Amino acid sequence: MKWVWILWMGVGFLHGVEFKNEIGLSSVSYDHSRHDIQCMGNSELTYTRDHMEGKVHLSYLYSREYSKQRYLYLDEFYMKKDMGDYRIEAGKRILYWGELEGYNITDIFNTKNYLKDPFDTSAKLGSWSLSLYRYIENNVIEAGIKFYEDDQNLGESQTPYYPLPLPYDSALHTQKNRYTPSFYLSYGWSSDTEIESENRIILWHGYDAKRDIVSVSPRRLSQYAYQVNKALFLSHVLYGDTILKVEGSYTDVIDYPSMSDYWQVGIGAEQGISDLRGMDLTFYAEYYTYGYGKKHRHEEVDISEIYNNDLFLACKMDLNDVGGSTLKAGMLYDLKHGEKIFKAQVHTRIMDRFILEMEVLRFLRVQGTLLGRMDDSSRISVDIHYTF
Amino acid sequence: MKNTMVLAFVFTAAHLYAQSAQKVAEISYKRLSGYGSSIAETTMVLKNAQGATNRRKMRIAKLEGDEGDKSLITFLFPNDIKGTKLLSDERIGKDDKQWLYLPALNRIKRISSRNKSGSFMGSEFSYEDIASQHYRNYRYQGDARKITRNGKTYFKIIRIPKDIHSGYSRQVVYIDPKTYLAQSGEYYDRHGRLLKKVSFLKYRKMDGIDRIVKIEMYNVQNGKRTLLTWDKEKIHAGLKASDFSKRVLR
Repeated sequence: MKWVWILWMGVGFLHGVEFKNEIGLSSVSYDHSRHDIQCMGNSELTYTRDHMEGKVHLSYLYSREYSKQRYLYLDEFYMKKDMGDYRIEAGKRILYWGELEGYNITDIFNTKNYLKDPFDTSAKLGSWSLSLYRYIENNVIEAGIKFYEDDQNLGESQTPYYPLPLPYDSALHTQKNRYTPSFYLSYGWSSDTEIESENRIILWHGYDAKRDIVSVSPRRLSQYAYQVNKALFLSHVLYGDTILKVEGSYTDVIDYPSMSDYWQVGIGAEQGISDLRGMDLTFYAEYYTYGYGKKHRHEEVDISEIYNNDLFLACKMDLNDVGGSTLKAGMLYDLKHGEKIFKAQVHTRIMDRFILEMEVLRFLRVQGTLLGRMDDSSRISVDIHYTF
Repeated sequence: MKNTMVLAFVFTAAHLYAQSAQKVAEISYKRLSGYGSSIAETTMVLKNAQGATNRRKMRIAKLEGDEGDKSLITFLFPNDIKGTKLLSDERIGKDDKQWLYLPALNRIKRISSRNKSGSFMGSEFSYEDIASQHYRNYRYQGDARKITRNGKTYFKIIRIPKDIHSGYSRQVVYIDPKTYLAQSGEYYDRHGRLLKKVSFLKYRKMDGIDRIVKIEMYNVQNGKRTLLTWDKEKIHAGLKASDFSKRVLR
């Protein structure tokens, strides 16, 4: 470990190397679980030279109360090289496939980092992969391979927001070998006519991002990865000053009878109002749904998909003060069960390098649902971060 | 005949003396143009009415174009927004195209360029203030009048943004009649009230082209001010259109 730090500090003197670090302390209170103090952060090293870039990104979390929530992850470790109209990227990478704000149906490439925050779908683990890009003016053809399926740690039954009725074994079970690669082919294009749009189609063959939950011993559950063929579609359209967004997918499950084929659709709109008494406001409205292609459906698979017949409404307010303060508030409303999740966040910068954040999360839940199985319905956190 | 010649001379002299506001704006714009492409490192100091300050640092790459400039702004400081990029494709007479790259999510997000009056990075500069001030983006009222302020002579021009989404109803700009460089201005909000006072504090000449070095924007309605300084700039930087495509964002 000492050599890692020496290397880390040593490369800082090289030309083209940049560092970005953040360390934070968080006080988290729940309505039932024990109050927790967390130390978290991340370090990023980027090396740029000519048309080549390398990046290493580490993230960590230390929870005082919940030992199973602690982690140190190498999230990203990759190189990319531009060669004229081509680009190649290889290594451990995090890709973003999405248009919507609340939940991205098409963001299936990486495993989610459930330990960081089960309600933050943007927290992801890097995946060992390789991609080749071909740029044709504003359009891009992309082909890639994901080499490996990662385990997903959910903590243990005492960890806040543990979703399962039994203890969990994080070792992933797979339909084929976990080194069996997944492949994708993508085409992105933009339309520059009267109505501007940017669109993308992705064809995927390999392991699904959704997982089945299987019993691996009489008293333990584990995730099971099955193989699929998947077609994904992402698009946004500029209509006046409104941005309309859509994400959709159809999944053909290959030889796994416990799971039927399924489709998912999400639509949304984003509207900004600027310079309202010096503030900027952005409103978001989104709707997500999914269905099964065949009559039999595997109810347990629903556990990996809480966004069904759900409405997401949110507002972001940029105060445009010297601290770059923002207020965010949103609600996810399950139209089927009547459940509601409320979340509000305040973020401000102090003395350029310190970030102060406060977040309140609250559920109004019903019995028998995924949220209904969780111990806690409220969480309040206050964080301070230092960036250097 | 003699009277006609005298009259013609008087009209010509009056015309020469009172240049059209558009012509003055065009000359002024062209004094700052011809750099091809540029890369600059800039610092923005935000100061609120109570005197509290915050800093922002950016790298700004620009490419001149007949139908509008292209720009790529990379945020360097504060560290929490380091690596965030704003790509703008200005299109005179049309809505600009803008994309934002969020490094924490590795996400490229399209943003609506119609919210031009929104604050840029919490500063008193709006998105339209940091865009190129191309003279064709404005209509002009009458002639550029020569006026004297604080013992100095200026061309006073009144320009009205053509874009109906602009946050300004009109802008009054004071231009040095010798150098044709803008020295200060007053920007009025949509209700016609004075909103901001801009001071073009310093220029420098690079390869025969005048380049701005320091601008201060003072918001008279909230008492906040922002000082934007070009610490370093390289012009004729050899950038191409492909350096301003979406692929450079990530």
